[in-house]
Amino acid sequence: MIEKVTIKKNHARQVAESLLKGISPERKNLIFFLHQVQNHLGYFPEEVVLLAAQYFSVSPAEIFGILTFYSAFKLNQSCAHHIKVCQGTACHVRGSEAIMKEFSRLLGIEAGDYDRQKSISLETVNCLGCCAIGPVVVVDGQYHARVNLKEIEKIVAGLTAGEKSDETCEI
Amino acid sequence: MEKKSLSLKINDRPVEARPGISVLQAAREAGLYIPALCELEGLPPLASCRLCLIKIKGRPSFAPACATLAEEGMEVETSSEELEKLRLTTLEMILSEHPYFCLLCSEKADCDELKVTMSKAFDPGGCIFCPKDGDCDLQRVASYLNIKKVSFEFKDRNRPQWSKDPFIIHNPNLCILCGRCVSVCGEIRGENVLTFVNRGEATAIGTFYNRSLQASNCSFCGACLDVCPTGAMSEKGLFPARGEKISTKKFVCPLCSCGCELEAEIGEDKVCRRIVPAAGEKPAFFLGCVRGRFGLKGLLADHKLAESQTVRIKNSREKASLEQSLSAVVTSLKETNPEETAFIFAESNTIENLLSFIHLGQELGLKNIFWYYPENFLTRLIEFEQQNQVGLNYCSSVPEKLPENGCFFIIDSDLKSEAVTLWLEIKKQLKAGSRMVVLDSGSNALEGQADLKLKPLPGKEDLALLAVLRLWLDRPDCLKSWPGWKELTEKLRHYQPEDLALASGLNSDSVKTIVDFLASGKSWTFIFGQRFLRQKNWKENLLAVWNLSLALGAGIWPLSSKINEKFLAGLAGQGQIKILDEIKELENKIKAKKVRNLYVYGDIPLTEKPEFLTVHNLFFNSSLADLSHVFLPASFWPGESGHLVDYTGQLKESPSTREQEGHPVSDQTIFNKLRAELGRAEWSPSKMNINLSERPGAAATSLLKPGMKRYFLSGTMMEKIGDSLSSEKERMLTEEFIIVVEQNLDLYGGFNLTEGVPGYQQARNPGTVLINPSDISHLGLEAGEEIVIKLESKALKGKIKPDSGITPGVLVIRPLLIDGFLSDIYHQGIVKGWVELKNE
Repeated sequence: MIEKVTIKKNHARQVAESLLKGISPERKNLIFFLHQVQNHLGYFPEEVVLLAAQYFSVSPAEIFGILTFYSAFKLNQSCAHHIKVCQGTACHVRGSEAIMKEFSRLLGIEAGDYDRQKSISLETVNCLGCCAIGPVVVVDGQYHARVNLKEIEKIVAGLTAGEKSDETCEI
Repeated sequence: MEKKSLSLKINDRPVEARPGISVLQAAREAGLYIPALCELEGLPPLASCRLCLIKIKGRPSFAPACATLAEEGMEVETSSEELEKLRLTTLEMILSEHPYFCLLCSEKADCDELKVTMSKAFDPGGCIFCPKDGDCDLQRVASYLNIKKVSFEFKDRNRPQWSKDPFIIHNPNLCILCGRCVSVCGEIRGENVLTFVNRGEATAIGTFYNRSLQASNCSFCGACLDVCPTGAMSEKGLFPARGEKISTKKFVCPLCSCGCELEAEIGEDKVCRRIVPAAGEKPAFFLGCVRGRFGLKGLLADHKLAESQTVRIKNSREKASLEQSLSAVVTSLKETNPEETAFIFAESNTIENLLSFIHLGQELGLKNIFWYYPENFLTRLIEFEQQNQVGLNYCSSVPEKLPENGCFFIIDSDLKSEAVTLWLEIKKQLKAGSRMVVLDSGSNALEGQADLKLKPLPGKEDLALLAVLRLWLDRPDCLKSWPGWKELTEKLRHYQPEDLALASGLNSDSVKTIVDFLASGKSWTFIFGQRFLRQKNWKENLLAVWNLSLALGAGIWPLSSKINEKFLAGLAGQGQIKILDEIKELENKIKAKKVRNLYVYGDIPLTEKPEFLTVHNLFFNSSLADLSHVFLPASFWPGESGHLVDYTGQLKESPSTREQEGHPVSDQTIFNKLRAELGRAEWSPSKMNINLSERPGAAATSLLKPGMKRYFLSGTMMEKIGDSLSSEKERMLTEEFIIVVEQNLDLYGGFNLTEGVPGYQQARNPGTVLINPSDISHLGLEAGEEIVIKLESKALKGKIKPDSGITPGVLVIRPLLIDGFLSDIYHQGIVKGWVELKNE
């Protein structure tokens, strides 16, 4: 168990180091780097933040502040599957609230929470910029347009059937 | 004084303002009050509280006065029905998340009698229980705006307090998110511990991954306490002073060379409530650190001071009257040959007291009047100057102010811990665009703020600097006009900069980077601390800095870390006192019966007992006091008036306010009583031929001739370079380490702040061993584990703390000099050791 943790730690560091290779150490590039880490690693272990702090000459506390400010960044190792339910105005008037509730009911978790066992996270977003096809649900990067309540069961079933391991992130 | 040159109108009143100041400042200087909760002079404007909104003629919207610069011809309105209404609503919004019932209560004036508010208020029980009560900016603003109601529903944040840390408590439920603490922590102090976390409703003051302050490497300087407008940041154990009469006493902190002016608040029960920086001109630049603030408070609060004289009769100690004790001392002084009598003192006392003691010794015709000074810092500088006929001009060269827009090259000196006032000045300049290079073989809290940092191997600082010098000498911007340039260049040409760099533990690229960086900066100042001269090769270190500073046209600022050092070094230079840097020397003299009678003023880590020992100290807690034949309690100097000399050579005055009842007899009175018994006239420092109103630092090197400026390299230095280059050895064993022995100033009069002050050990544990994380895993250890380090003569125990700033193969320790062994390794500066591996 301990070994597995250290492997993961080293992996995170390696990912961060290789990402830094293409980025110059100016402060303005920090957010870009953080997005890259989020995309490739999915979360921010402390050592990655410390590495970034040293590289960009920003205090670790300040980076932590940025990470907690933007909802795009996750502090904890995230799940294999991400469900984002749009709660923007256009989706809202087309019933996205009910859709959210249905996801909650089926998964047994609230918005912003995750199911460790099934490795599914559920969150709300505030407009994805494609209001015309609302209500929109994004599942693992795939957009589902004009979602209705009946479809939700299918989406959830599809996710729980073939469970992926959470160590698939590669660059 | 800057010229006032802008004229504007505030509330139809013509106001003159300096260019660059905000409207709020201009109004304040003109005597106008604008409510503000986030603005604080000295801190960058945050404009987060929105209370200082003003109306400017010709502008469509309201502007925050704190973040609006005063302009020529501006017409400003700071108060009107419209503005006050706006402010009231803003305050209502602020208060909707801060318990406000006490602020609105109509009976608040009679709160002490009625205590009705308590039942209405939320945690922490209303203003009456808040440590900020009576000194709260929120209370002030609420009463200015005369708030009667809060129209928004009260939202109880119900967040847990941070209470695990020593000295500082944060109550997030009282926080109004003004950001002053975040600002002072990062921008002024350079600590960067506090930050805003989360967003929207959930916004809070936080730390890196919500660690405790202690785990975030907080230095507990207490600046956040000074700036907090509410009770959100408060000193642990501090209760509101409602109704109590608090007296204050200003004094100069003797715990390092900064000599910060502090103020002790003493309650009616004569117990020290707290120690705060004495109000200066700019509140946000409040001085002080954990030692003066919390360490001294612990000493003052808990009655740790020795109160009565004791005399040793056979094997027991007994209380004795002052007369009895003094006559025992006098008898011993009369009976012992002056040649075999020695006086020794520690420097943390007022100059008046020290002079009186030294003078008494001189009257007795003693040849051995010692100042225990293990750093030997100033005396080594003087020796270097005299030997080489150069002028570091130590004392006179120390400017009172730093060069404007200068750049700083800091060597082996952690200013945050050794000279926090200088650090705050440098930090100010860094904000204004200055640059800073840190070269340190040990641990240095400044590295995080440095533009460039260099980590040579301990004891190889000279080679690292020579590598830089070697490259610099060939540059066109090198100052070649001083004599000796050609010779120096020729000598150094035998060595490749790459080889020098590698032998010092740096890579050759970093030396090239540093040379380019040096070229890009202007007016460099080299600042080095006692650690740089506590090494075996201190002469080589000084040589390297000297030549490099000449080549760059840079200034040199040697930084002492002990109070009064500048003054006492002068006395030593005049031959009035001798310096004792190794306690072993005195112990050997005692063993050989060359010293049979010893009078210790202050505390020293001595374990050998002479035939007669007098200890005159604030605390009766050291083994030395227990060995003494006569123990005399010293007068605690915060209760006493007197002068101390800081690192710039300036006098700092502890004013006298009152004599405490039951206060021990002053030291000077004791010395005069001794004089009387010895049949000598009374003496006071004013009789001495030293003008205390002048800079006593100047006296320190008055004996030195002005030195020449010339490049030079000694023969031993050349040999040493050759040796270092050829004897390059790979580290063979993972358990072998070079140990850097850093300074620990948490000791006052032999009183160990770490042991005596609750919580202090949590903040600063002298048993901590800093180690590179990679060494921890190589040795199969875990952070926080206790290890045993074997040195040549003895073993040391310590708890390891990972620090990625430490070079692999190096350990950093900060022992308190409480015994001869620790003083010995401290004196050596860098020692070799082996981590004892556990056999499993």
